[in-house]
Amino acid sequence: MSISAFLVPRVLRLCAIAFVSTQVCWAQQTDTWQTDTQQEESQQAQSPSFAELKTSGLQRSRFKAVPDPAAEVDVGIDVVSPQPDTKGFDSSIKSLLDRHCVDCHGPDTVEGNIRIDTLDADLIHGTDTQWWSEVFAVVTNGEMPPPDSSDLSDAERERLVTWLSVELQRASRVRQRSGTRSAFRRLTNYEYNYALQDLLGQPWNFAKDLPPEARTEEGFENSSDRLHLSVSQLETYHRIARNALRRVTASGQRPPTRHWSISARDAAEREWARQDTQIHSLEKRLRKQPKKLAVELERLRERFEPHDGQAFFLDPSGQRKAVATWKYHGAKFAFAPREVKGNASQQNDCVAVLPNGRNSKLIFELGNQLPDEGTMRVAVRAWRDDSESDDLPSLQLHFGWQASNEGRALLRVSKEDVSVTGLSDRPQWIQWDVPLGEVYPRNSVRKTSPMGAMPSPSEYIKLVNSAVSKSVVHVDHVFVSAPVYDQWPPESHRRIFFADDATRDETSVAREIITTFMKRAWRRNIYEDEVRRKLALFETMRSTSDGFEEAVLEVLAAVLSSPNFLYVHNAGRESDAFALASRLSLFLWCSVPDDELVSLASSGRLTQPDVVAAQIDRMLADPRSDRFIKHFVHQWLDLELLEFQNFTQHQRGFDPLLKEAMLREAPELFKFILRENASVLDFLHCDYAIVNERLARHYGLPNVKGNHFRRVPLEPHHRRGGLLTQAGILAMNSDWPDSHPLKRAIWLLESVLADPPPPPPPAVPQIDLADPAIAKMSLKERIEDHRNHAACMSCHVKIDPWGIAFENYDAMGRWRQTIKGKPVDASSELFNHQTLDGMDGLKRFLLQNRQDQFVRATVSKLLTYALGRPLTFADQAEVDAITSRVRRGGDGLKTILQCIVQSELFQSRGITP
Amino acid sequence: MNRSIQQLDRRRFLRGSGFALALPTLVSLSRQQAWGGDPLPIPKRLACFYFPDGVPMPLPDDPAHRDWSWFPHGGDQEFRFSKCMQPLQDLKNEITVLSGFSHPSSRNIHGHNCADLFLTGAATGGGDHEYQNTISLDQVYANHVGRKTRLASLVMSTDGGTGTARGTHTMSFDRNGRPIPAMHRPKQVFDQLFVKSDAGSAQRLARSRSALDDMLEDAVRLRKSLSKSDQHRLDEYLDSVRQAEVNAEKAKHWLNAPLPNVEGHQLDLELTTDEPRAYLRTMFELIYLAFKTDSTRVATYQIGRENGVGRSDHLARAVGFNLAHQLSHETKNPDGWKNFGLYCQFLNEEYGRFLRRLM
Repeated sequence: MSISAFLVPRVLRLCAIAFVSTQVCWAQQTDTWQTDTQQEESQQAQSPSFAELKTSGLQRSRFKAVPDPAAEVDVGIDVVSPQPDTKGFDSSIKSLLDRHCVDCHGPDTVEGNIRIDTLDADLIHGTDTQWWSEVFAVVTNGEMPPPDSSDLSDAERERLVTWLSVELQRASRVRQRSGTRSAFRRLTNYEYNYALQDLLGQPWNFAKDLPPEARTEEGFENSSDRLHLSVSQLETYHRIARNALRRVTASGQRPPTRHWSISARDAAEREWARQDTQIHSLEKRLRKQPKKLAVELERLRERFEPHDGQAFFLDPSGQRKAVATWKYHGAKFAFAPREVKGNASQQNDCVAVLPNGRNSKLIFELGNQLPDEGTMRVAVRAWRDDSESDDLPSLQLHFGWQASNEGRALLRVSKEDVSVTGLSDRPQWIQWDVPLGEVYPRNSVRKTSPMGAMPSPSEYIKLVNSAVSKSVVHVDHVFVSAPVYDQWPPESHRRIFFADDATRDETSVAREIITTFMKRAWRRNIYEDEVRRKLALFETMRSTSDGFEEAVLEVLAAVLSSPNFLYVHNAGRESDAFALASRLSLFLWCSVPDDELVSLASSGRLTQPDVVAAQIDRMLADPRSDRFIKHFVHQWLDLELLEFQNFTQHQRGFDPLLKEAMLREAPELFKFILRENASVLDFLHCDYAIVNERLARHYGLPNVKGNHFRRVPLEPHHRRGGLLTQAGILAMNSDWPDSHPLKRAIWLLESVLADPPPPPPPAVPQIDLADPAIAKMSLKERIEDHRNHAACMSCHVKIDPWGIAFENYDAMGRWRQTIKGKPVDASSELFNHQTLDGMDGLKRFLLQNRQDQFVRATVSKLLTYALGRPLTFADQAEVDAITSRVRRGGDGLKTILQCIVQSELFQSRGITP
Repeated sequence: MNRSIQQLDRRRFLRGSGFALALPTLVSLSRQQAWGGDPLPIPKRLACFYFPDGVPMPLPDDPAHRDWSWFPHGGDQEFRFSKCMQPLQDLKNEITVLSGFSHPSSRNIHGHNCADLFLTGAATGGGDHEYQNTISLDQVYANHVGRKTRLASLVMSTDGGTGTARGTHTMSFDRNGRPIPAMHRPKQVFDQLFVKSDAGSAQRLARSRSALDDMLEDAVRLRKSLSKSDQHRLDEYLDSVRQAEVNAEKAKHWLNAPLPNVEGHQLDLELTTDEPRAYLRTMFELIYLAFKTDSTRVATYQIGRENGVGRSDHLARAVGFNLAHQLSHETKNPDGWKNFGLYCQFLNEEYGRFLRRLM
């Protein structure tokens, strides 16, 4: 078998738009080919700015050239009885292929496993459409015929591409109309989790017991072909539902709330008492040696002085200090709870001073009285230093316990860091609500071991100043209350048992409760026969239950384990509008639709374009859309790689805060571009970054303070902008401690350009590091050497150059000009002999020549995610149509979402189930 | 990164020693009356034991090396037990002693944190970092054979419960890495094995079955409205519900199946570690009975918790010492290795007794 060139059909490859005025369009496209070879000189001579490149690239877009989106369907395509243009093939295409392709892809040589001469020229009825898409892509990109050995003229190329584009478009449309591509699938784990959160009204992690999800090669988790179900999973769904319903509802009396009110003075006095004891015992011991006593006392007082990074208490006079300490033995540091909340201490009393970093121990031990479930509300009065410094401290809340020497845990329980902006005359109350039932692991001896005994049953909270720069937080009072219920029974209980009315008969109350819940969980109208069956189940459950509520919850658990909840479907008795509401909410909220969406579906208004458009705006303005951003970006860019990246500890310039910031940068950029409806070309390059202080420091951006993400303008010398230069992206596509050009190239091709290279053929030769000549080489030289093997070249020549261009960024994503003392060589030659000069050159090339490809790739990724299924050939015409609308509309990210939702594929118009 | 075994600090290396064994064949009493009645191949059983704080490993030039080193002298088939393993002498041809292993996830953590990962191999870490464990070996096996017996597995420890994260009292962790509470009272173990359980589980089962019927009905109706390819996808759900019903049916069978008739009065089920040897022997005996009656095929027993401070520390009193954990710290005292070795010898006496029961 020949492995010199591997070409596999790719479903998601470029495909054609139906050209209305192909002449105009192709004249421009030809222009692009010509510039490919002359580009280096012109680039250096004129060196247009990135902004100019964006504009000029858009003007040349083949999508932009299509005049009217509505017209495209009718032009050149006979929808009623479409016929392939085999005549055109015979008269003008076949001879071209024979002359330029068949030598390598014909009866004598079959490179890349493809024979052109046997492909079926009837694209509508034939089975070779995927191969034709492939041919179209490589010819359009100028990759085939091989640029150095081809005499295919531009006019010939234009003829070939035009014929193919029309035929592919026609064939795709025909398949779309006759196809049955519904995306019936079960909810993903995260959708299931959010759906329970939204239905039950508690922000808990319900899905943690479900087995992890598989992913498609593209990285998508919500793809219908991957979402399987097994018996243990089904049993887990049922168990989760029963537990969740029990947890969010309440029975019996309101549990008493315990309160802790701890002033800094309370904590400080304990330290001072300890200091006094030490002083007194020293004075007693050395009372006859006054000189020695003075020396020892001085030494002792020095020990009381806090070191850098230690939290300490300070009395109002500013004279007396004590380091904040904590030991677990005997729970001696525990504060006792009380029945009532109490008042905050007088300000201007003692304060606790908390510097940034992880060495301080500002711990408030609370004993063993915290409940298993319910909210723990922690409020602290805090302010930052009054000085002129613009450093911005921030607070995190941690929860911990230590039962014995070896049994202990400390967990961050606050989600977002809170910036401390208050000043001493205007202190700030910072409050966290911690769901105690979600804290894991808790101290498991808290109910069996008494306070003071070993192992210790006590638990504590800890305040951490998580600022990157040197800064202090002043804290003078801490309130803790648990369990806190703003009402009883809690809101999540009332949400289910809203109709609890002792005066009515049980069955009619049950009917009302169950029907309402079913409607929300199944996100559609409920039919009478369905209600009757659930009521029959209720009667069965009621006969073995002590109470009404218990029986209702059993029925609701069955509702949540039903395929009507667990699966998304777009067929059935319900109208399309309900299915649309579900698709919309799963797309933008990763969850079930809310009441407004369901009622719009119910009234039929949701099918009106302006109503949908308004709903998209509303949904994106809702915090639930953060879930879409998080999960789409994670899957699109394969950020799992970064999560798995295991940086060596104690690496200079690295700390966990950096990895955390790296993980957030891509979603934050996406969020910004989405909110602004900025052009998606900003992902390739933009003159701003969305960073926090930690990342800004990593990038060398001055004057960025605090842990929140915000827009920061970039200058060219920062060498940043867009996704490609994000530290996290660069780091995750590295092989710590080395950068990895190949990984970076493949990531660029797969995630950004949706043009994945074929998988490596079997039996490729390994790079022989035992060979001293190879071991001596730089990474780039090694890659070049590898590429020179005949077996490797044909693939690597298309991959490597893209990755070499990233070489100025090290494995942590930092800019560098040398590698091991040698200057970085980040230039490489593309398949068409054009030189890609580093990141700048790569971005220029993409903006100049690959805008269409990138925008179309972004559309197809978002569409794949929105539909929850892999795209097929039949979808390609619609992808082109959406891309065309998007390009004409200025490439806005929100525009893409609007176009996708309004597309025929998303609306499922004209598709027979 | 890799250090040779010689370089490893012996105590660190040996912290957390345990043994797991695939038990010899055992023809059970109740197999003839097993549900289904088919002649079945003799089942394979798995029992895992763990004791903390390491084993004696005096250096070769130490006078105690000959008698009180845990590991046998020699290798392959030709080896000689030291006094630590002397009680297993007659079983020499039946057992395999493994040495020289260390688990990558345990190399960087404190010796007192090892029990948590003995059967899971998870990087549970030390200090108070985030804690996440994974499924344990016995539970993986129980997932395969658990439905064939009344109990999927038996989880026991001397200290009982789950203990704390990194200070576990159980060797068994479920699919999601959560600890499965261990039983420590012989009576509790016995009742679970041989005494009729409450009506609650029958009721729970009946409810699950009603719910499953309802889910099946929903699925069948939904299926009618789907296209062919979508029906195919929904069939996974239908198959799962049907399988869950089979599982429930089996569970119901076990609920109704007669319990093996085991005379409890031969055992003192109220024993505690105040009588350490009798307690340990009873715990082993219960595993033997569980296997003999084919009540389960998987058992774990964590003989002690790490770092002392607990009931299991008293087991050393069987051989005249006060606390077991302390013995591991006092090996450099006069007769230190010997004392530690005597305690290990005691554990092997009871372990050997258990093995002989199985043969």
